[in-house]
Order: sequence, then C-alpha cells, then structure tokens
Amino acid sequence: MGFRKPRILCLWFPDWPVQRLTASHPELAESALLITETGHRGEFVHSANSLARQRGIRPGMPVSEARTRLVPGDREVVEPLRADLDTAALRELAPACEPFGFCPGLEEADRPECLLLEITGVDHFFGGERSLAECLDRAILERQYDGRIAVATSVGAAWAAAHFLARARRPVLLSGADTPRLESLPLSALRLGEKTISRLSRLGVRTIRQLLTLDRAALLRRLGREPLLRMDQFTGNRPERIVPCQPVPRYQVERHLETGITHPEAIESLWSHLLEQLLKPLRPQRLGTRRLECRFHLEDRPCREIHIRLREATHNLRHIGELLGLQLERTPWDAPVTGVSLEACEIGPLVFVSPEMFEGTGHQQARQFSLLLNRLSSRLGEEAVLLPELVPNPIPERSFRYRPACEEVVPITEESVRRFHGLDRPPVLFSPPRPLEIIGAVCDTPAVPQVFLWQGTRLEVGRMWGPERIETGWWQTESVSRDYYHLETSLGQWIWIFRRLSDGHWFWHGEWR
Amino acid sequence: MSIHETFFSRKQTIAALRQQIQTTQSGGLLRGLTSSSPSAVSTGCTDLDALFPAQGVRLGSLVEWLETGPASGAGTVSLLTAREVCPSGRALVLIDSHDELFPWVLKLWGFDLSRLVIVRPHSERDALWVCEESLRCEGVGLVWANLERLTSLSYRRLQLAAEASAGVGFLLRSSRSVREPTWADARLRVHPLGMGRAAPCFRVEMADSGGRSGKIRSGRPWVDMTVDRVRGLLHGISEAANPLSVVS
Repeated sequence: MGFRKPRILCLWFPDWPVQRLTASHPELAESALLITETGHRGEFVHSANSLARQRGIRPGMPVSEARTRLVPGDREVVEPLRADLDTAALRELAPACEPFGFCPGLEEADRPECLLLEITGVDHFFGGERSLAECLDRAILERQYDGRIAVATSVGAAWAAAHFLARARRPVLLSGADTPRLESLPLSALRLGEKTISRLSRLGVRTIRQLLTLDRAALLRRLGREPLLRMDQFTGNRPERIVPCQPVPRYQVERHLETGITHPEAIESLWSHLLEQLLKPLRPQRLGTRRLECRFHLEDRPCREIHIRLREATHNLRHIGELLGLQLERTPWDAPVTGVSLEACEIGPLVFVSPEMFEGTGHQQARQFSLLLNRLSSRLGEEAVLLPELVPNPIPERSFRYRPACEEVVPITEESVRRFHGLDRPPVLFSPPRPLEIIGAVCDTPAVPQVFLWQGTRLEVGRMWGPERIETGWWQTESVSRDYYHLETSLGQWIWIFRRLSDGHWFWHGEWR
Repeated sequence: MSIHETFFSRKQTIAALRQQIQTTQSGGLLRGLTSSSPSAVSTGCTDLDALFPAQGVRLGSLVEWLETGPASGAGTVSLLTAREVCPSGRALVLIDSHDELFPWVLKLWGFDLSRLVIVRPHSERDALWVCEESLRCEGVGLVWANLERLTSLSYRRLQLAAEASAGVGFLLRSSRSVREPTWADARLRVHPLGMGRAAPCFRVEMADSGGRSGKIRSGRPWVDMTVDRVRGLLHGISEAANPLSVVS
C-alpha cells in the first residue's frame, strides 16, 4: 500500500587499500604487499595481498612478525595505510557506477570499502537485477577490481549480504522475504562497533536473530541507540539515505517582476509556468522530486515560503501543481507578488511501476492512496496526516508516537502488545488525563471512591476491576507510578481511571467511547 | 371521475408514498438493496449484521453511529466493526477530530498499522474535506470519522464519493443529529448497558430520521452486544460465551 521498499545495491571491495594500490601498480601482485597501521603499541598489518596471506600473514599481526613469515626470494612491499587516499579513490570510482544506479554513495564508515547505489526502477533497463549486477561486476573487473555485489531492500541488509554471502562473480539478490535468511549472520553483519559487539558477546548474543528477539527498551537502556538503529536499518524499518559522492545538480527556477501582481490567476499563471520549467529537465532523466521549496517574494512583506513533501519522487506537473494550489488557496495574498522561486529538492529516480512491489494490493489503488496522502498533507500540513508507531514504554501516553505520512518511513510495529488482551486498554485516551473529584467511598474497598465528578459529569461506580500498576523504573528521570482500574459506571459506561500513587489523586484517562 | 374514486385514488397514493418513505428510511428502496446483496460484508457478528438492510455493511455505503453520551460505546463498536469490514489490501483512514484515539489499542485489536493513517483536521470543514477525499480514493477501504455537523448536500457528496470508490464510510456523531437528514444505509444508536459482566456491553439499535427506533425486515430493531475480552471480537449477548474477568 505505497509503503514500498527500495532496492539497494552494495558493492564491497575486500581489502580496498590493497586493491587500490594493486590496480594502479599491477606489478605489486607479484610482491608480498603489506598495508600497515601504526598504533600506540607499534606497527601492525592492516591488510595484505594474496601472496602475503599465502605466507600466513594476517591483519592485526605485528609487522616484525609478518616479516619473519616471508620466504627468501619474496619481494616485500610495505606501505602505510592512507585512509584519505583510499576514500578518494573509492569516490573517484563512483561515477563509473552511475549507469547502474542513481547517485552512488560511499558507506558511512571511517574507512569505507563499499559503494552503495539505489537501483529501484533501473534494473529493467538491464533485463533484471541479476543482469544489472553481472554487468556491474564486469565493469569493475575491467578496471582490475574485485568486488562483491549484493542487492536487498535496505542498506543494512545489502551490506550484510555483500560481506557475508556474496562471492566473486556471484552476486546475491535478496527480496524483502529473504531478510530472515540473513538473521543467522554474526553481529558484525549489522555494522555495529567493536565495543558493542564485545558487550553483546559477553551476554551470549552472537547472531542478528538473537539480538532481534531482545527487548528493545532494555537494549536502549543498556547499550544506547546504536543496536536499535542498526537493527532498524537492517530490517528496513528506518530509512537510510545514501549520500551521493558527486553533488547532485540543483534544480531551481526563479523569476522576478518589475511590478508586483495581485490577481490570483496571474500569480497562478506565473508559478505554473515556472513549475513546468523546473520539472522539464527531470523528465528525460526519469528523475523526480520528493520535496518542493517555493518562495513567493512580496512587496514590503517577508517572503512567503511553502514546502511540499511527496511520498515518492515524481515529476508529474499536474499533481505537484494541484498540491501547490491546495496550499495557496488557504493563504490570501495581502501584498503584490514581485517574484517566485521554486527549487526541486531530494531528487531521486522515478520508481518503476511494478505490481509485485505492492504487497497484496493493486498498483492503481496504492498509487491513488499515495496521491491522497500527498493531497491531505499539502492542505492540512504534515503534522495532521500521521502514521502511528508504537514505542516500548509502559506509560500509556508514551507508548506510541506519530510520524508524518509523507515521510519515507515504514511504521515499526512493536511486539509489546502481544502480552495484552483486547480489553486491557480503551480505544480513547485523554491527553492530559482528566482530574476527577471524589464523593463518598465504597464500603468494601475503602480506598476506592463511590462517585467521581469531572466538569459536571457524574460517574457513579458500578463495578471496578483492578488495580493494574504501571510505573517507570527508578532510574528514569521522570517517575510515574499509577494504579489503573477498569470502571463500569451505574449506567454501564466503561472508563479507565487511575490513582496517582504519589498524592492519591484520581484521573480519568480513557474510555470505551 | 366520481368524488369517491378521486378520494380512493388519493388514499392509494398516500399509502404508496408512506410505504416508499418507510422503505427509504430503512435504506432499502433508495439504493435498490436486497437482503442478499453480494457487495455486503459481514461485521463479524450475525446479530449486528441483521440490523443492516443488506444483512451486512454494503461496500460503497455510509453507516452512521450515534453516541448517546460519554463512553457510549459507539466508537468502540464502530472501530471493531471497521476492522472486520475494511476490504483486505486497502487502507483505513481514521479522522480523529478530537485527537483522542489510542493507536496502541488499534494494534492490540489487530489493525495493521502499516495500512492505517490517522488524520487530525484543524476544523470541521477540513474534516469534511478529508472525509470526502478519502472516501473517493480507491486505495482507501474504510473511512472512520467524527463528523458532527453535516448538511444534506455534504452528506450526499460523501455518499456519492463512497459509491464511486466502493469504500465504506463510518460516521461517528452524537445522537442529537438523529433529527437531521441522512444518506447512510444504516443509522445505529449505541447505548452502554450495565449488565455487570466483566466486559463492556452495549445496545445497538436502529434509529430512523425521526429519532424513533427504526424497524428492520426481520427480528428486533436492536441488538445487545459485548466484546470478547481476549480477542476483542463483538458478540451478540446471546452468543457470548463465558467471559473471563477483566483483571486476572
């Protein structure tokens, strides 16, 4: 239903520093090449070529020990690690990959060894993803590089597959349903830091699957945000942008007038013409925009800015024009317009229309739904059209959050609801909880009042069930401690109330409206 | 024509018109429904199905749920029904004008949050616009909305929008609006019932535009219902079996 998963290709160059030197100096292939790194404990091998590895030299080995492994007649070449040159070389290689995907970027790492490409909608030019991956592999090989290629639905999954499943000349293609296959991989496949992996290992957690089953709240408390971030990036629940190596050209148009215009039709004609100019160069490249920044310059007034966010990249003039019109119709012009500038941001490839990408629904329906969300967000604002997302927090008002529907986000569905039943919580939650006044007390339960009052509404206790204690841990900054009750009034209304343990005050928090 | 014949003819016309009005009020003639309408979807509760002219919620129609006060149960029953009725693969749009829906419970009740959008409009006018736009969208299976003030014209537009997309609109309104004209297939008033069970009980009754309880083709014009404590399913009181205590 429009929550479409992108296709990400990861191209990993194992031992990239070695490959970089060998590609520029092919004669080094006949020598034992050691790339070394100097630390506070001395000089160690960072990486080595195949000949050196045949002699038993491994990364992390002291250079002095590595030298003893060489046999007479071996030509030894020792080069210090030059991370800046390695990164620059990888960046220079990125344009060669542009025919295979949109705006190739480097992985986010101190010493990157991977190029990342979004190939959504590009594969059909090659006759499929496998063919695309094979063409890319041949192009890399022609440049004397050895790459491992994997395609998956998230950067995290593609990275893991490229490092742990792909082999030379054997690309790996994974669909969204294949992601569980990767869960048996070790934690290092998640791009976690060594410190985090070490701490998890001490707890007996060694695979991704083991980590995914752990309580997220506990992980957050003990290990910080990194494991959750990497898990979500791996599953695709959290989008991860690929930062392009080459700057994307700016798509911007503007026009300034000598005299301001006030007539709405004239203003519309001006921005419509500019919008057409803006989108025209995107069409032949099959590119679209996900965000449009509009500035209307006014006479003697501050510039009026309008932002339009779209769920997927598009260059559809009619649709974008309609969205802009929806926003403008709510804002009357209080001064003459002296100029308009439009900029298309977040440029990306158009998504190839493929029914199988939509899970369990027709393409037309998904497309219409996506357009609807764009329209609603444009008119009401992004903060009014929301996707709910559950949060692992026992406090009811903090157990969910909203994200704008126009954000490229797949809602995370927490499993924390599993231990609850259908009537454990009401469908309506008051924020903030309504303070209740008390009248009388129940005979058999002295702590529970007989009648509650809220702004003239009288709630006579019929029956009550509870309490269910909900409280935060002592280590959390704000302490919450409440006893919740299900209350059936004498009229049969079902409401959810709680008593604040710190002061004994009662609150009406929800109801089965 | 004799005076007697004229009088008799007028009487027949009045009787025919009365019959037509009654059929229209129960949602039958206007939309050409039969009891075995193929596009009707079950609410998951046979007793509740019986209250609808098509023995279930007809795709491309509106249903009005009337609240009779705080915690009346109209929202609860309508949301649980929406879960059953929303066509598979299509999205659900909840227009929460009061900013009070608890999404956590929607997940608990089995809603697929990835196909659910909550809209919080700033005004009644916006809410009406969102409702019509969403109902008109083929990607949306069901629109649930708090809409208090509706003119007959706006109502008719909503009904046409629902028909165009074969979606369903559930409108949650206060019982005050019962005297206003309706274009809904069914207008159901929900009261809480204090039955001392360990689950909320409600009476869902059909209401006509005059504010009186309507009549349905067969059986009573109302049904007493409760919610299954574990799975959150709706049952007629006669169907409900041995509800467990709420807090064990």
